[in-house]
Amino acid sequence: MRKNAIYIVSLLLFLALSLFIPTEEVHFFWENLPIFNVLFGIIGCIVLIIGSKALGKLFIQKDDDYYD
Amino acid sequence: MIEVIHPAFIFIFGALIFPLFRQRKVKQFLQLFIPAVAFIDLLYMTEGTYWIYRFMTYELILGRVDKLSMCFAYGFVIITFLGMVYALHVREDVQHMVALIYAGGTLGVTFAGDLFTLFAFWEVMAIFSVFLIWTRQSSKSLGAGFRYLMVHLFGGASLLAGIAIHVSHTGSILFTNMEFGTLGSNLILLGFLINAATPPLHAWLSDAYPEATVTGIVFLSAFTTKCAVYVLLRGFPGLELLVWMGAIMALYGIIYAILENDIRRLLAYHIISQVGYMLCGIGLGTELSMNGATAHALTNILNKSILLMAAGGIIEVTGRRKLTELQGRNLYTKMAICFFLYMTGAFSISGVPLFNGFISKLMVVYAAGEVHRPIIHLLLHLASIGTFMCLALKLPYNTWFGKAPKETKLEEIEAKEPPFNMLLAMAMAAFLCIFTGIYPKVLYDILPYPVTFKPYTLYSVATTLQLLLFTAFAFFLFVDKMRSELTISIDTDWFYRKGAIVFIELALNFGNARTAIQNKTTGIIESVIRSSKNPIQTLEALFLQRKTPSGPYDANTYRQAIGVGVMFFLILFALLCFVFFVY
Repeated sequence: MRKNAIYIVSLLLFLALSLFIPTEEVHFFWENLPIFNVLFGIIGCIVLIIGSKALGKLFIQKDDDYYD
Repeated sequence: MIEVIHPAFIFIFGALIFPLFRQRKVKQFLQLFIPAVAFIDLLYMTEGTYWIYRFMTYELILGRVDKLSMCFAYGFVIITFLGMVYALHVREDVQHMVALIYAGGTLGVTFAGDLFTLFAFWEVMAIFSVFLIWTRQSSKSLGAGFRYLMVHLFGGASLLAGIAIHVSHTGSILFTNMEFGTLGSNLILLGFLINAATPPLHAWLSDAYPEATVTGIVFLSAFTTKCAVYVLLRGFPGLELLVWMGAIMALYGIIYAILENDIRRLLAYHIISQVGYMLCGIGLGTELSMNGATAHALTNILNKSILLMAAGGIIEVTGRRKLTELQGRNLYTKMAICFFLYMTGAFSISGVPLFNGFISKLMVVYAAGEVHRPIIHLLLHLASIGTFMCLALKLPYNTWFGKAPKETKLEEIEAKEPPFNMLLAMAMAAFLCIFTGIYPKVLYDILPYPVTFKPYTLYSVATTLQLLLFTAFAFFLFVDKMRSELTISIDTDWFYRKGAIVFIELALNFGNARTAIQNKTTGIIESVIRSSKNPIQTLEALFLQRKTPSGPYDANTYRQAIGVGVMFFLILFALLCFVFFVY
């Protein structure tokens, strides 16, 4: 539990620090948002997990001896 | 100037003299000496065209040396050396020989200046690589090897057809930037894309590589796909089709990797995903993106080989290859060095700052931003998340740590660190990954175009860390969902694996139908023969329902009394008389 707490606190600390990083030459408007990558990381990860698991259940995953 | 030899022939000649030596120490020395000689040879090569031979009315160019080909050649020779260090403990000579010839074929393609030479070495690669799969000597690897070979021979045939059409149209066999859209160049592109493992033509990779030998997969993953990236860079830079194929490919590999249970198949899907970045870079066609594609190929050769070497180490010492068989066994306590070296590769491939993957991946992604391709940019970002999640979190978590589902019985696994030479090879590759990550100038100097790109800015490092750290956060929220399941994933090889069964069943049914028809026809013909031998018997059987004994024809059975004939004659005579006398 304590490990998790340290992890989360350091994440938040990092997040707070990174809010003050000046943006450089950007190509898209969303790159100006300081927390865009944070949100993209979390949402992207969840979308990938749920999306692939759903596809897997739909038709991709078969029993281990499917081809035998 | 020192006369240099074509490096492909150093490897091929080296492979041929390999079995002449008997002492194991000499053989091990040769394993390292041959790639080392080739590396020194490369250092002495200067730009230009060499080894030109006349063949009929054409000129074969075996050595086109420029920055692009040199760059890939360095990568291939270095990985041959590392792969050989990794395979030092293997006693089967044939594995080393085919690996060396395979490396020779790859270098031959890299330096080929014309299409005929390219094709010849292309086929050398296809044929010799399959032995790295077959030498595993299991029934699964035999089948997978055959499927691999069939796909590659199809690709080779397509390439040859394309070359023939291209040459007859343009009259030139030079291998340069090709015009997209003609039949010849389309067929050539198809051949290239099969080797680059572009969906839907990729299934050979995830099917065959996991069945290869523990040491062979290192060569396989480094050569075939990266060589295809090279020829695409040379032949089809700036092709719009490749941008989309690359972006889709990058995500396709991730989706399958998330579902995958076999560690080496999971890594194989990541080869597909990483090649997606390279294809994207080729397709974007700017100097930065092409540099990025080249750099990513080089860094990927190194970091992917660490991952496969670590996976091979696990298979070598535990004999298990599925995450469901490994999770919860707490292997970390027994294989810590292997774990740390694996993580170097994993951080590198997922583009963590200070590792070489950070630079090359950022180049491609940044290039997509530079030419303002928002969808491609986001798709590649998403694939980065997936790479980090699968390779730096899912695979190591389930392999070395993790909890098994409660109901499974945990038997103890015999595990220790893999042999020293395996660890050494991984450590050398890990060193190169970190070294080129911290000091990228080495990499920049050999890239085909001048580099002005600066990866280490506060902004790019911070945003990359944001992306990856919060991906990890989301992963640990879903850690139970990411536990592996004992399943396999069907892929486009389903069409020919199941298709072959259907085809064989159809063929068998067709054969059975043919036999049935033949039997029926023979029966009819036989009865016709029987009845024409004795029509009376047949007629009697038909009309009088009289069963005549079957058997050989006996004329007496059917002979009538002589009086019947006389009677018929008299009746006829009477009729004649009647006609004659009345009229």
